[in-house]
Amino acid sequence: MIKSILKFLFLAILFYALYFLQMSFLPFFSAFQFNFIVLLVLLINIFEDPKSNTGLYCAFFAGVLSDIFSPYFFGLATIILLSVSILIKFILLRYVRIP
Amino acid sequence: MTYNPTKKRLLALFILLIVFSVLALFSSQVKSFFYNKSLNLQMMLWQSGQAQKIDEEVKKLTEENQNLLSRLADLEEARKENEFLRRALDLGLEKEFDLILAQATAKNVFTLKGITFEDSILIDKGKNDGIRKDFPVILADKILVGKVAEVYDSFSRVVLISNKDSMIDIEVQDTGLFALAKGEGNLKISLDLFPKDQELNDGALAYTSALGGVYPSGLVLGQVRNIKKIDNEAFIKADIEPAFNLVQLDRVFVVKTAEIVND
Repeated sequence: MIKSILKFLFLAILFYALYFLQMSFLPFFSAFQFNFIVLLVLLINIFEDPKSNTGLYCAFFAGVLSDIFSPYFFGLATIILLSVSILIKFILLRYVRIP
Repeated sequence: MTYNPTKKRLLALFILLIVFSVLALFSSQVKSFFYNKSLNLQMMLWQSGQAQKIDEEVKKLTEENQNLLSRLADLEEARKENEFLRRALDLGLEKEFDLILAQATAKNVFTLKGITFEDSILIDKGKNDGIRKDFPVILADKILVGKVAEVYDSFSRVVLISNKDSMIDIEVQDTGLFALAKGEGNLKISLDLFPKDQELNDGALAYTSALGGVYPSGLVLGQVRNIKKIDNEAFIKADIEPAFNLVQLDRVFVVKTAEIVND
């Protein structure tokens, strides 16, 4: 339980830092003209164990932060990211077999 | 392996939706709270990002500036060459002589086999460009600079008319008389064999005569200065001030006709 809370907190802080890095620092570099937070969430979901929840936590934090700083209604980014993450996990569990 | 979402997960999702619905109602307060709390961090990252960008821009602009300066230098070179060739064309030099345009690459001191030659220059044209020994070297204004002394594949050494080994048959302006211009070294030339009983004016032009066989006639050496008539000497002593300026010497013409003159 404590391990899960610690992981949760760690991911919260990590994504908070990454989000501001993405918003305030990386726009100055032409090589980072894409949303690398979303890319990171997708990659984590693709490459982690499909039964693990880490990818979902990441999607949640990335979504919440996007919602806070976006002009759209609260929850839109979170729901989209969580849905995509669940979809990835579903596809990986159901249709992908890694020998 | 089948995917069975647990009730726990569904419950969490349901709670999440409710929480978001509530948050959406107070979204402006929530957003302003997070904006205020993260303002300092955002500012810090923004400034460091800007500094990085500025550094990058400075680097880029410095590089661009260097490239432009180099292009400017090339253009300046082309302009000088153009001006030099125009001057030559105005005088009709190209009709009178067969010319090879060369660039001075070193001046005054050149060491070969331990011997230091003074009053000589190196030019960037050599045997491969058709340069041969004893070819006269002139400026666009028909000013004599010297002659080719040594020829290498891609460069040559030109001894100036002020070189100690240089002796040139000259004609002095307005007198119709011939004399000898002897190189004294250090850009000094003396006038010799000019009869004492003849009138010689300060500032008279000295130019080459065809007598020597090396130089074509009519090339300007310089002006006669410091005329001295010494009692026990048969000839007038004077200096010839070279018409070219060694410091400004940049492009020169090598006259190919010297080969014909020598033949």
